[in-house]
Amino acid sequence: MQKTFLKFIIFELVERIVRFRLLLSECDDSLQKSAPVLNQSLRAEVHALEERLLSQKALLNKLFSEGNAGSGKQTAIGLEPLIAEIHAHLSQISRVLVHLKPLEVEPETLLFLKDILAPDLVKDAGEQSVFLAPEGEQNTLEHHLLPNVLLDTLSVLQKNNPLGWAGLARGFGCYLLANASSLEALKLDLLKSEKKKALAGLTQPLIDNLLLHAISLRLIGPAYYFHSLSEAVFNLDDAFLSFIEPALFYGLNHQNFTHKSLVIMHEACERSKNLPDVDSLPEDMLAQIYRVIEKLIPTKAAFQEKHMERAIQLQERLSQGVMLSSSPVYPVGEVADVLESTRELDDFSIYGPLSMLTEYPHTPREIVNAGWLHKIERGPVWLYTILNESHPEGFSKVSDLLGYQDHLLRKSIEVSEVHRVLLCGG
Amino acid sequence: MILNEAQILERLVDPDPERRIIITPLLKPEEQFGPTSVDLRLGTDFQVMRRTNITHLDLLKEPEELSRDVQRHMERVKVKPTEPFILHPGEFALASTLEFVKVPLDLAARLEGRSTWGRLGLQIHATAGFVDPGFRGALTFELSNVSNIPLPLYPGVRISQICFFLSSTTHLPYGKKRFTKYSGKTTTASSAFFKDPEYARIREALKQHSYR
Repeated sequence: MQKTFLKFIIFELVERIVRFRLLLSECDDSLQKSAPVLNQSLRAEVHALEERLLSQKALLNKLFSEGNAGSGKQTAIGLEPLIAEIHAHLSQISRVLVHLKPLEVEPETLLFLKDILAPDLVKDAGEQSVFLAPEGEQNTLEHHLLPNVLLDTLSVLQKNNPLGWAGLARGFGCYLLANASSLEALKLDLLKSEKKKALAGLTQPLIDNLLLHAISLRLIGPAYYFHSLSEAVFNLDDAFLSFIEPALFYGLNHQNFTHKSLVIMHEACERSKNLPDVDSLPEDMLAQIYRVIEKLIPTKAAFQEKHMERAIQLQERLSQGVMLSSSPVYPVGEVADVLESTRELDDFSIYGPLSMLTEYPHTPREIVNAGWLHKIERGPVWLYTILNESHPEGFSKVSDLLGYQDHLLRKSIEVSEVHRVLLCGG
Repeated sequence: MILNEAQILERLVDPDPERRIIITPLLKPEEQFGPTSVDLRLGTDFQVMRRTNITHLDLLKEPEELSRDVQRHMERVKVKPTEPFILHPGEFALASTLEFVKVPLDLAARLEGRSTWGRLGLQIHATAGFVDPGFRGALTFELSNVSNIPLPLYPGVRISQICFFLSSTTHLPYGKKRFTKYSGKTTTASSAFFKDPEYARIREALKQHSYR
């Protein structure tokens, strides 16, 4: 098991524990009034989970002592049962969280949905609704249980975390699988004998899963891949992780990214079913899937390369702790040059350089993708902080950090929407 | 010295990040700039005081308990971008700027109302319009309607203005000041008065000397 993977999985676990505590703080007032014993008991459970994780501090610290080179096999063997045990317990107690007031889906979640599922695209699919589900049970809902409604569920632990919303196109994907004739034809074609022979395990559910991934990747971009990874990480091996280093995908265009992601997700999915031999998806099959999805979700509705370029630029703002709802049309350096060169002129007008400072709003998808890029780069540093502080200070620091980042991302999504509204009518 | 429009603009595009003022988003800078100020907009989240479930704030309770009392006392209201928040005559509400603001260490700032809204009876702060050097986050409004008609307040409207003053560089920026309570907040934050250390001291004195 790669050390990068091990750091990722441990940080995912830490993040879930921290988020559990943040949610308890959010409903502290009502819970203390209605069920004080439950409140104390849940807090004690979270504290115990933190201590349980830190009981293996020596092994965790070993992760950082030798850098990323080499295999983390021995460390992984020591940590795997602990990770599984903590995650299982956390998932179980998260069932209680779902029923606590005032925990409900944030309004910004719906703004994110509105961005990924444009009205033109979903006009026949019905209204989108999102519900909170216990950790690990977010993908078990029947997406079109009710007519004219697309149901999606979100792990309660991801309620405040926009990065955790990147899986919310699943309901729409299921709708397309059931209703789009082009996908029906594609499925039949993929299951034809010659191609099926090439892939021993290619069954109807696997194809459906592959197509759902392709739809979400087209709509949400790399954030969907990272989100899928963070959800699958407690069940799978490190197949996904061969593709986690941001440097690897910066150089890829969108089609290549989708292509590579699909290959990895498919392999990971097969491995999770303990299939002995993992077959690679043939190139022509991937190209065929990509063509059909491209027609089904036109460029206007898709997450495009220009969006990814903006997300890469926005990352730095998150590192500085600055809101990322919008960016200036012109680089500030250019405005500074114009100001300097015109300031001493007799007919100088401030309005020239001022108008250059006008900002354009970013889309929620760009903001969420920037958030993921930031997290992947900073996650190991945050983990290091926890390990090098005494308990509970380390967790408390990461809790402040994640809480602030969540606020910043949600405020950015919300402000970008107000910005778009105010641009209407010029 | 108060900064004029060109000096504010200069600071907004300063190549040195330590000296740069950040105000984002700037939707229409030409409309927002005045001779010595920049207009700021209203955000979407508000907090109003509920009077029905609490008699008073007992400042001498333990901080954890007081924090819960404050939560119980303040009701959060979030409006959609096209939906107004109605501030009724005589009502008080907390709100915050749409913008994220960062003030460099050699500047201080003041948040002021706009006369357009003042003429309608809207006050945007009760007492705390001063912004420390080093502040970053959304600025808080203490809104009051002193007129006799309800005021519909839409997110994104320019209800305030900020002006900047040159100061000697401080070694005690807002974020590093001890006992800072609102640093880095990007949403409307209610009072954290109970974190002021005086209350702990008074509580301790009461315990020791049985003043009560």
